[in-house]
Amino acid sequence: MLAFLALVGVTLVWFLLPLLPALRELVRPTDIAPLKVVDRSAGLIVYFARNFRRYLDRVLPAEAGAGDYAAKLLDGTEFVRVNRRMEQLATDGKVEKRLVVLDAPLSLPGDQTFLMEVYARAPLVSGPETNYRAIYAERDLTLGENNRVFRWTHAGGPLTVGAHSILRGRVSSDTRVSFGADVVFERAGAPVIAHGEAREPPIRPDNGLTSWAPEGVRKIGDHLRIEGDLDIPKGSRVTGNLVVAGRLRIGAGALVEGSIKAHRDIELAEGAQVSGAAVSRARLSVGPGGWIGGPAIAERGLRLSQNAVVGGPSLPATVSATEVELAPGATVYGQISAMRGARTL
Amino acid sequence: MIPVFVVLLYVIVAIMVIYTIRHYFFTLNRLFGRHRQPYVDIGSAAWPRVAVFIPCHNEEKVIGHMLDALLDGDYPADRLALIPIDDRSTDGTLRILQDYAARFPGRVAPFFRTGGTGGKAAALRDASEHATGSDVSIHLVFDADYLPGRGLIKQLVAPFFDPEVGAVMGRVVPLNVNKSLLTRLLDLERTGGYQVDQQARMNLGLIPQYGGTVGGVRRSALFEVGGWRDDTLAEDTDMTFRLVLAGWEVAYQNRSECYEEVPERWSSRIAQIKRWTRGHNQALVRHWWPLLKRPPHLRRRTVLDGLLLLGVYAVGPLLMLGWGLALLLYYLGVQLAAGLAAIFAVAMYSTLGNFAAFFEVAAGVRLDGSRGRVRLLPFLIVGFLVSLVSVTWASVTQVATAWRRGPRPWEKTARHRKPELGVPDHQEER
Repeated sequence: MLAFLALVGVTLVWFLLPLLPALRELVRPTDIAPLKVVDRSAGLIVYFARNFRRYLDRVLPAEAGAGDYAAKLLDGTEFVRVNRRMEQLATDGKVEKRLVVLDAPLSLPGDQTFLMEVYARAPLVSGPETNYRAIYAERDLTLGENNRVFRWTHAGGPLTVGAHSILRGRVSSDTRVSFGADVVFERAGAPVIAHGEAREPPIRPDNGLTSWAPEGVRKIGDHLRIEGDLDIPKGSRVTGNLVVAGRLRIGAGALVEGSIKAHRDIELAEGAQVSGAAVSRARLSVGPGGWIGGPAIAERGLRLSQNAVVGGPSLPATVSATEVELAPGATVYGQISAMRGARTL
Repeated sequence: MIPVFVVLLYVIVAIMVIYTIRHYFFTLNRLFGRHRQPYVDIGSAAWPRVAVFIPCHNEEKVIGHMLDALLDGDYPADRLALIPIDDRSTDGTLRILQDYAARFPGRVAPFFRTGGTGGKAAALRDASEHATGSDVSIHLVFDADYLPGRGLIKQLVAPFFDPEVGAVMGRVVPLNVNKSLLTRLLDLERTGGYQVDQQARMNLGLIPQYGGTVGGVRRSALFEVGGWRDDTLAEDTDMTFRLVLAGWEVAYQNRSECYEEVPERWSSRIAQIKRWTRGHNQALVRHWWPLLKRPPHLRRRTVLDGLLLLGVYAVGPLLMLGWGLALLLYYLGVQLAAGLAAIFAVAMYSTLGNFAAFFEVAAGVRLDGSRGRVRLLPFLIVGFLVSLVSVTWASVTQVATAWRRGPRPWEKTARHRKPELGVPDHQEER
C-alpha cells in the first residue's frame, strides 16, 4: 500500500513539476497589471519636448532667475545658466556635460557637444559641427551645418536646419520648419515643413481640363475600383475616389477630385493634383509642382519633387512612408513620418 | 460503415493540421515578418465628422466612465457626436444618459429605443439609420464597458482616409486582469488573438476581423451592404464578410488600444462564448458559399483565410467528433493506415487540437513585453477545454433549434465594475 501511495505521490509530483512556474505565478502574481495601453499622446510629435518642459517647471528652483551661474536642479542634476558669459560653456570640441539653460539670444560658435538637454528661452543660433542630446527653444532656433541632435528638437518659433544635419527622433515647431539640403530626420511636425522656402498649394484649375472616366470600372460604395493598371491622361479631370488594383499614373496637369489608392506604385506627373488622400501599398511619387490635398501614405518609399505640396494652410495633412525624399521647395502642411528616415535632396 | 468513420477522421485531422499550420504561420509572421501599420502615423489631417455609437442595456455601472473618456478625447469636438443607444434599460442608464445630454448638448445625443427587436445589432441598425446626418461619414462603435484613451478616435478614423477601407478594428486590452484566474487567462487569449492573429492578417493582406467594438465602419460602405442586420448574434463577423465580399477592406490598428472589462466568472464567460459561437456559425452558413465562389477582387489566399476564419467556431464540434471517432475506431480495433495521420490524430487528442495556439499566445506576450504572465500558459488548457465544450454545446443546440423563430432578448455580458472605479492609474497620468 505504501509503495502504491509513494508511486502515486511521485507521479503527482512528476506531473506537477512542469507546472511549478505557473502555480507560483498563480499564487504569487508578479505580472498582474493591465497591459499599459499605448496612448496616443506618446505618438505626438511634441510629446517628449512637452514632457521636458514640464520637467523643467518642476525641477528648476523658483529662486533661480536669469544670470550666469552653475547650480543644481531640485533632482540633483547639474545645470549651467547662461545670460551673457558664454565662456561658461565648453567650446572648441569640448563636451558640455551639464544641462544648459540659455536666457539671452545667443550664437554658439560651433564644434561643441552637449551631453544633456539645451533649453533656450531666447532665439538661438547654433554654429556648425555641433552635437546635441535634445533642444527645446521657446523661440526661433537655427541649427548650423552638420549639426546632430540625438533625441528630439522643438522650437516655439521658426526652426531652420542647416545642410548635412542629422536629427534623430522628433522635430517640431509651433510655426514652421525649414530644412537645408542633405538633412536626415525621422519625424517632423509643424504648420509648415519645407525643404528651403515653403510653397503654397497650387491653384486648382477650374477650366481647360477634359472630364475623363476610366473604363471597365466597378462602383463600390463611394469609390471606383479598377482591376489592373490605370493611366489618367494629362490635362484630364476625374471626379470620385479611385482604387486601383495595379499601378496608377496621373498625367501632367491632371486633377483627381477625390482620394486615390493603388495596390502598387502611384506616380503623379508634373502639376498633377489630387484633392483628397493618396495611399499606395508600394511607392508614391509626386512630380514637380504636384499637389495632394489629404494624407499621403506609402508603405514603401515616398518622394516629393521640386515644389510639390501636400496639404495646405487650412488643410493639415500627413506624409507617412518607410522612406521619404524631399526635393527643394517640397512642402508639407502638418506632419512627416518616415520609419527608416526622411532626407532632403 | 468503418471506412466512412476512417475517412471522416482523416478529414478532421486534415482540418486540424491546416489550422495548426495557420497558427504557426501567423505567429512566425509576427515574430519575423514586416509589421504593417500604414495608417498609424496619420496625426495631422482634416478630420471628418464621426458618430460614436454605444449600445446600452442596463449599463449604469459603466456608461458614465465611457462617456467621460470619450468627452476627454482629442478629436475635434465639433466633428464628433456621441450617440449612446439606450435599449429599454431598467436600471439607472436612462437617467445617466439624460444627464449627460443636458450637460453636453450637441455632443451627447442619446437614442432611446422602446420597441423593436432586441439586441446590439438591432440597436445599431435603428440608431445608424435615424440618429445621424449625411455629413457624418464614419460610424464608430464601442461597448459601454470600454475605456478609450484620449487619442483613440483619431487613430480609428485615420485608416478611413484610404478609400478602400470599409471597416477598422482596434485592439482590445483587458482591464480587470487581476480579478481571477479566468481574467488572467482571457488576458493571454486576447494577446494572442490581437497582437498575433489580427496583426498577422493585416501584415499579410488577409481579412482582419471587425470585432464590433473599438472600431467602426464607413457610412457609405455600411449602407451599401444593407446596414446592420438584426437577425444575427455576431453583427461584427457578419459585417466583416459582407464588406469584404462587396469589395471593401478591413484594417486592423494594433496601436489603437482600448481597455475592456472581461468576464470574471466562468458562467459569464461560457454565456459569452456560446453567443459568439451561434453568431459566428450564422455567418459561416451565410457567407461560406459566396466566399468560395471568389469575387474577382479577392485573391485565393484571402478566400482561404476567410473560410478558416468563418469556420473557427466549427472546429470545436469537429474536434469532439474526431475524438469520438478515434476512440470508437480504437475499440473496434481499427488502425490508421498512414503513420503521419495517426501521429496527428494522437497530437490532436492530447493537445485539445494543437499547441500552435499556445505558441501564438506566448509570442504575443513576448511582443507585448510582458514577463511573468506567460508562466500561466499551461493553465490555458483549462480555458480551452471550457471553450471547447461550450462551443460544441452551443453549436449542437443551435442546429437542434434552428427551426425556432421569434424575438431575441439582449444577451449581454455581466458587468463587474464598481461605479467608483474608473481608468487605471497610468492612464490618468496623461
